Amino acid sequence: MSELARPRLVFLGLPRTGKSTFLGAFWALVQSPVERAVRESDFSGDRSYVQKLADQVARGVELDRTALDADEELAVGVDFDAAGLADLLIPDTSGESLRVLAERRIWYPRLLDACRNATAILMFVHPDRLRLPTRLVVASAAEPAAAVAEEPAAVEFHPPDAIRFQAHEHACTAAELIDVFENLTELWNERRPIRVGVVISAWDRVGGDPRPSPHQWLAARLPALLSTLESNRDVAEFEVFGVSAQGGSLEHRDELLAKGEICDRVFAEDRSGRRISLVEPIRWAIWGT
Amino acid sequence: MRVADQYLFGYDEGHRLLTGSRELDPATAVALLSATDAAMADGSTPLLTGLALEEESKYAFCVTWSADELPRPGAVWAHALLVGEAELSDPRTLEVLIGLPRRPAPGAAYLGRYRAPVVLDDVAPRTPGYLPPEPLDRELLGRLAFASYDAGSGRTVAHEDLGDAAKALLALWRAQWPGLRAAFSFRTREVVRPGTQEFDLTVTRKIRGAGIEGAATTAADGEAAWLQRVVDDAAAAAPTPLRDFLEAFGPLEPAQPQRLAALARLWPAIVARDAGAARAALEQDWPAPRSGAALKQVLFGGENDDWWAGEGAK
Repeated sequence: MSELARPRLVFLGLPRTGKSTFLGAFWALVQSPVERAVRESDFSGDRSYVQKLADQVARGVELDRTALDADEELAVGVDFDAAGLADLLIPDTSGESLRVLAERRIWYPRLLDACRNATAILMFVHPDRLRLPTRLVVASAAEPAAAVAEEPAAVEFHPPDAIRFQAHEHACTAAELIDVFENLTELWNERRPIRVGVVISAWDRVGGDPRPSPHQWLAARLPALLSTLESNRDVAEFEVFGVSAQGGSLEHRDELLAKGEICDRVFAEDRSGRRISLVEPIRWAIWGT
Repeated sequence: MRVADQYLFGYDEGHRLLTGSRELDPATAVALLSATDAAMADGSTPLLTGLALEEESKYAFCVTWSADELPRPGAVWAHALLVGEAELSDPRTLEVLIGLPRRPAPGAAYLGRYRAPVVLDDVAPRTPGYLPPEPLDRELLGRLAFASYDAGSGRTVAHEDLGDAAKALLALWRAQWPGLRAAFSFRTREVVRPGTQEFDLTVTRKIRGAGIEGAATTAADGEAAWLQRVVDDAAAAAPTPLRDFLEAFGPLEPAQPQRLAALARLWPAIVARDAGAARAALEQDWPAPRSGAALKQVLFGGENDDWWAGEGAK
């Protein structure tokens, strides 16, 4: 029998990036007789919270948000085929706790504890909820900048006026996540490298012709985050996945449920776009490539 | 002039501070963000939080409601009021404060109602709309008092009806002397995990992994005279002589819940004019020669024997 791993994973992401949905879908797969890549190896403990998440995913309903003071977690022994046994612990952290770090520059105590003890981080981003950098166009009162009219997202800036900046309104997603990564590396000085996987949730919503791979999507949409992670491999092993933990849109629930059980409809892709099991990001976070 | 600052929290792509009457420093903002957020099912009973902010010498009194009308499941509204110890000391302003929290009724101008500080002296006390009309549950009050004040007790109580719990919690909090009230943090929650609470008292419908029957504390000492007196006082429409005693000597004690139990254990002996029992209680709870000096002086110093005159006769 392989040695028991004791991974401590942390799901990080701003609000509504799919952390709890992924946790619920993962738990549903662990319990599914159809999913052969993973099964539960230890039946003790209270699973009511993750079971509720799994039930909500199965019913195709939007999950309750995770409250900031929630103290929920998945603590389970799992057996990954071809990898081994793991005594897995994943606290269900709220997106607000990460926002507090990114915007207020304060570690929320429970998030800090989880990240300090983490063996791997899965960082969630939602393709529809990115805040992209805003272009500042320098203009004068007499001559408004033409670019502002052509580019609605741009902000006209009149020197010497101060630029009004509110982190919660103006900080772009990449800047926030890079800042989070830098905060994490400060915690891990004593034990590098650690694994950091970027999980692009709602992957079914990403289109294009040709459709990008998760790595290509990250390079196009969050290039600064990608280059930060790729240039810090001495600090953290890096991987990227696309996951669809619902298997489709909740806005078309009937179509979604018509696809079948959870194991029939959820899917994931590795960095190159190859189909993999939804449990693969967890397996990678525990054992690496 | 006694003033409360007020803050409204709600859902805006996550639980956020939506507006408030004054800027908050980052640490206080995060503490309030956490205190006002909670897992709630649609239509569930409003949750109560009292949070002592020791570094700021402030106290936050908050009520959280489920925001069923919002599209995001699990979204909540919360109204937090921030006061100093002076506002908690005066019985009238305390009643005003307890009656202030209100759930927003979203409309064009609902945020405006939370942008100005509340002058407590200008507001009449009103019955809190977030409390149920049912009478106070004295048995529950006893369990809460035991959990809060007994040194050996856990600080989490499981109880199915969080409306009753909120009512009992407020009765308990009102009956404390002002310094203890300003330091006493409490909350009601749908679910908590054992061993993770930083509050002096948590009442919850479910302790994760234990079920409703898994109450971490029960009033095992429920027949104790001191506990009965504490419950009688907290449940009374007007303060009893025990309240006078607590307000006279509580401020001389550290602002710790267990010190209320020590005073309350001494009180029955005084009421019974039983000097031997009083001496035994003093030896138990104030064993060091200089501890409880004022209390010892009053009871045995020969200068003031008013407290021995019988209950209510001081």
